[in-house]
Amino acid sequence: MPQAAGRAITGVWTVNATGPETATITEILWNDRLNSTAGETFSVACVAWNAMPARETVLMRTGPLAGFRNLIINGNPLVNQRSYASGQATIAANQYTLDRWRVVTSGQAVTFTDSLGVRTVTAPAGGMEQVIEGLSNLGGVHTLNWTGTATATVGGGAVAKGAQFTLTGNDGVTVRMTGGTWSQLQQEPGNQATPFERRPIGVEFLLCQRYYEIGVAVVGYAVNTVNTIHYSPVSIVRKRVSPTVVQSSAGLVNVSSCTAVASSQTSLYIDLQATAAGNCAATSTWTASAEL
Amino acid sequence: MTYLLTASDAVVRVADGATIPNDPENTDRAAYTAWVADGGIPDPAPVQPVTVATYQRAIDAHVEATAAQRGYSTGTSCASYAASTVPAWAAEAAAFIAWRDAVWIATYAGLASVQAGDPAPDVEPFLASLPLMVWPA
Repeated sequence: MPQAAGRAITGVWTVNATGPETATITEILWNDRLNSTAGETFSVACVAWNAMPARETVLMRTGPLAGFRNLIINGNPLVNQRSYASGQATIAANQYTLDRWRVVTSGQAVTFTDSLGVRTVTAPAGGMEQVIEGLSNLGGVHTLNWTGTATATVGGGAVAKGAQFTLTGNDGVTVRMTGGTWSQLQQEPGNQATPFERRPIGVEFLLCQRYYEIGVAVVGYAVNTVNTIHYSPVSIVRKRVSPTVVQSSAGLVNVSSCTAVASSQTSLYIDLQATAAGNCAATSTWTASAEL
Repeated sequence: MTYLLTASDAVVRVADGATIPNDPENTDRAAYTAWVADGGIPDPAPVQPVTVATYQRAIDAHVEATAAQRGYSTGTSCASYAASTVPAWAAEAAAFIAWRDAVWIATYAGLASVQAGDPAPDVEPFLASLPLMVWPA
């Protein structure tokens, strides 16, 4: 068996495996032998590693392969808080449809089909796009990859499937998909297109809710006087900024009006005006948008 | 696109009733700011119409606030001490009841005057014209 000089193992080694086969070692990983000394002979603490693609072994040396490397949120766009229906024409430019995805041109639509947990989207001729928040962009070389026939631009520049481009850190980045199908879209740091990062759906949902959230809250008070403004705070997932709120109410009990009057990154404030002293309540359905 | 001012620093987008906070990083707020910069003028905040109920709410609040001057949680609570065995509390309740009667008598007189054709006063001046509460020493 060859001897290793510390951890610096170079070259291609050919060793006899059990039986007559010959294995070619292209990568050697120490198990628990991170502090080997010069001249030490290794015998069992090595692994012949040719099952993992080279691109992934590269990443294992240069950065974490797993864990939130995809800067696209809802890249497999199953999250759909707005209940957007496939093929539903938009009524305004830059209208949001599937979470984090807006259709650029008014009147155009996104269609989608699902198969085995993968959503394939057909982007309209005018494009559908997502703006990546600047805080998520550390800059440097990135790679964009997807499955399908759509074309892509990043920051207005065309990017081929699996191609690289360079970003300036902390800048917002607009990724637009146009005129064809796409699924499993991924933009990641580095110069390698790795397999699509399929995050747990609950995590993806929470990532979307930094930008948009819908909910229902029952708000109410016992009031002594009727001309006092009562702000009811409703907790929300922390937003990118104070969100825009659209609110509707039902089930009014002793309430003359129910309106959203303010918002912060963590709360909405619903104002009830009671019609008389006593208990008042309402059911408020709200949306909070902090989209880019 | 039109907008509506509110009593706070939020604005309402009329098209969908969205309440837009005063946060420059909010894209809807940025759109509103650009709209104003281009010469857009938002509609003023709506003024609540003055009705009999408006006066009623204001007078209710005035009565409750007066009871609170002596630490009573409500006007009803204050008046309930009229039969108290503590002379000071009973005296306060009696004074409060008499004052409250005077307030409502004046209020109904004012209502009759307006219904007869006199102009309706603003709420605040009307409250100032009501009998003053004098608590027992």
